[in-house]
Amino acid sequence: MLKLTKVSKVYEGKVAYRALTDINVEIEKGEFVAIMGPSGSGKTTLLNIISTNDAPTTGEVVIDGENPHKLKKNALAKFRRNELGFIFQDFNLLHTLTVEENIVLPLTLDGTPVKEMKEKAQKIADTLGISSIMHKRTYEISGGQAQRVAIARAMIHEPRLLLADEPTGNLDSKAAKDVMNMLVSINETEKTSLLMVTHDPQAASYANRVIFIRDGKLHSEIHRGESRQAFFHKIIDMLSLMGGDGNDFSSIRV
Amino acid sequence: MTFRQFAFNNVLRNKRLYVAYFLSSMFTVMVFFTFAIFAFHPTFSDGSVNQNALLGMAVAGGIIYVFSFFFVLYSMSSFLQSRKKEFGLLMMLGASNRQIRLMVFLENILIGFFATIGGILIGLVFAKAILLVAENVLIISESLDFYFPTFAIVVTFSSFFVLFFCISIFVSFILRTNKLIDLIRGDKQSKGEPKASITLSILAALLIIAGYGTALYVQGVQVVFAMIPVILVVTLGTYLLFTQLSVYVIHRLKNNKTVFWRKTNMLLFSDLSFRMKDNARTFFMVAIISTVAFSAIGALYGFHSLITKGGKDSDLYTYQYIPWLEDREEVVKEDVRKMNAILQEDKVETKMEALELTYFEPTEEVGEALIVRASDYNRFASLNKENELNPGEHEFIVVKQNGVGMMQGLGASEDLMEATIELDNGQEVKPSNVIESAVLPNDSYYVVNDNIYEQLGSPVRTDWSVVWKAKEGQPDQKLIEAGRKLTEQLEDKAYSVDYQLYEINKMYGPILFIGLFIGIVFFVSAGSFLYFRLFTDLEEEKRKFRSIAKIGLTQTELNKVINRQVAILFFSPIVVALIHGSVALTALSHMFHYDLTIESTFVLGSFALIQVIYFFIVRFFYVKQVKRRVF
Repeated sequence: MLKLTKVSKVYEGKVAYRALTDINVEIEKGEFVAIMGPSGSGKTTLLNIISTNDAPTTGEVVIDGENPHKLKKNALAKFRRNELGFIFQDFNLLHTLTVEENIVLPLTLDGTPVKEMKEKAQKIADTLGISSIMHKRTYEISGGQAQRVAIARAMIHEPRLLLADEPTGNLDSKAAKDVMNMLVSINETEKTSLLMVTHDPQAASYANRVIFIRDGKLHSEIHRGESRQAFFHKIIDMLSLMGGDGNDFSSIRV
Repeated sequence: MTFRQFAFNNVLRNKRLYVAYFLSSMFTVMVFFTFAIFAFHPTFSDGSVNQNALLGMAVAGGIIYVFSFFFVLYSMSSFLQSRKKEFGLLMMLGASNRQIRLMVFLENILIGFFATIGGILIGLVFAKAILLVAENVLIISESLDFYFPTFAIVVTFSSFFVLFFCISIFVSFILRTNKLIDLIRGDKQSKGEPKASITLSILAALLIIAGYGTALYVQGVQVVFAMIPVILVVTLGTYLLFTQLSVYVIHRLKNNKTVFWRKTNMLLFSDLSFRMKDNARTFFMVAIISTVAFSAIGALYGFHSLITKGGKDSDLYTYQYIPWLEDREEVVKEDVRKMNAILQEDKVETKMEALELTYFEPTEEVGEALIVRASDYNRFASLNKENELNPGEHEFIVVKQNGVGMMQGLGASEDLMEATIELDNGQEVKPSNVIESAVLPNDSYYVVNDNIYEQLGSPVRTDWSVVWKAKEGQPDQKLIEAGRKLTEQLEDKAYSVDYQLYEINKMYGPILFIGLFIGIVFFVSAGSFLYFRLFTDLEEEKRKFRSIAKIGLTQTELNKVINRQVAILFFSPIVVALIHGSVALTALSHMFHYDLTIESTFVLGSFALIQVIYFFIVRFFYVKQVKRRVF
């Protein structure tokens, strides 16, 4: 599904800065992978490269047999619109639009008939439990609701790869748990591949596999076996093994 | 929600963001439309106004239109700059370049459409006022009544439809969507400080000093030749002043920790340097545009007063009669009789004096010179309550027309002074002194004692000068009317100051009006450039002040920072423009040898006052906006 081969990123500037070095990652279809690492380890750079926002300096990204970085501008726009879905830490909803309009925006850009958009939006809103706020504006809803709207927007066009950047970063523990459960159920029912960057071991413990990166290099990866609780402890252990001070990581919720 | 609905909703639900762009577009439409109402007024189309004035109006309309184009384009692009993040997000969601361009295009068409309608409506409201102003500034025989300007509406609507259409296409093409990552971070990135080099900073100062020096040094016709190079040098100097010198000064201030780390200075200067690149460009543009406005209006106003006041000053008499050279005495007598008849018919009360001018040839070098009896001179002088001259025996007084500057014969009085006059009895006399007076309409002449006059022998040529002085307190209209009749019936041998001025004003009025109009347009647009600069960064400012307020910032401190920030933005370009303008007007006054101090003070002072008022209004709203979010 997603394959990264020897991806490196160097930021040119007064002092050239090497953000990523020879990253090799492969994600299977329907897999849920979390990427963890301390601040400045290159997690977000990696996500930006996968999401085609940023180009790698060397190396290759292949999504579903296609290298999006080689596509022309318009084809790339189509590719994003059809294959990728995005969830951000600060939601990035357009405040000029209502909740419903925000959700259907990717379809609107694709020129889908209005009737079809309405149906799809209603269906996804029902699953995510936001059908009651469909006509509200984005400043009238809570953070948890906003993130659910963002998930709905990321899902409505049934992308093959869902990319999430700290999706629980701005949420309280209850809302974070709900959002993670939602992502897992989407992952399981729709067989959407999911790649999530996070600081939060609790959120990461919902994944099938966690990849740790440090100073722009792959450090290690662990697989979820038995229960989520045990996986969570393994993640915590790994984080401490990585040698980061305990306070490198945001609050740990149990 | 279709894509079109999305684009429209984006505008309609986000009025605050679009309002500045909308208002400035509406403003340009309004300006053009009011001008069109004036230019297409039925009074002008029936041929009573001369062709030159109509051509002038067409050119002015063209200038306003071209300026509107660039103004709208500038507003548009600065507006788009502030929306980078939104475009980035849309592109992440899979919007193609074409779709973003389409969105911008649709937005523009929507805003352009309403701005055109709104501008025309507001223009209609102001139509009566502008026609009243025009009526008073222009001297038009008919009054400019209000009319329903169908043609002006059609012209305005179609020209601005075309304008917004072109700009929409243009903008959507120049909307270079650079790397997505830059777009998303767009609003957090500074364009950085321009590099300040000491050499260029010194060059900036040198260029401006050189430009000013030249402008103030040259005199008369030289001003015309010096004008273009001085404008170029000063423009370049101004550009360097803002991009180099100011950056250099801020740099120095930032390095000076005692100043930079003193209270709120840090906030102020860091902010200034953060936006220096944008600011420098705006400052430069505003300074140059305002200079153009100031100089244009100042020059026109000064020129106007030069013509009217100059005319009134040098002509003491209401009417004058100067016969052609070959006219014999009978013709002159007949003409004077005719003139008196006309004056009587029009019931203009006047006093008349006539004088036979006698020209002598005292020496070879001087050639012909007019010599006047003191008694004759005093007769004319008493008509104007001017000082009488009582030259002594053997005294020659040279009288020079006062206010003679531009006209040739500047040296004539010197020539007369040099000459030595030989009287009939062989005695030689040197002229004693020169005085300035306008008692006789001639350029330079001698006034001599009546006794000496008898000893001069026979004149080489004689001429006539007849003048009428109207009694004070008669209405100008009556004098002008009589003047018109005299000028027409006596084939330019009769001359009437009031009628002449009336004619000049009539010709000059449209130019003055158009000049004023364009000047004001430029000045107001300079004001909106500043407004844009300020409000483009409003969101960023709010965020900044909110985070500082969390650390602890009192309202007074906030006021102080904002006050200084806005003041620097508003006044630094205007002060430069005022100085530029005053230098330009001084150079102009050197060109005409006419003191324009009062006029330039008046013009520049009123602009400065308007700017101060504008500053207070904008600051009030700006502070209110920021405070609402911060406290």
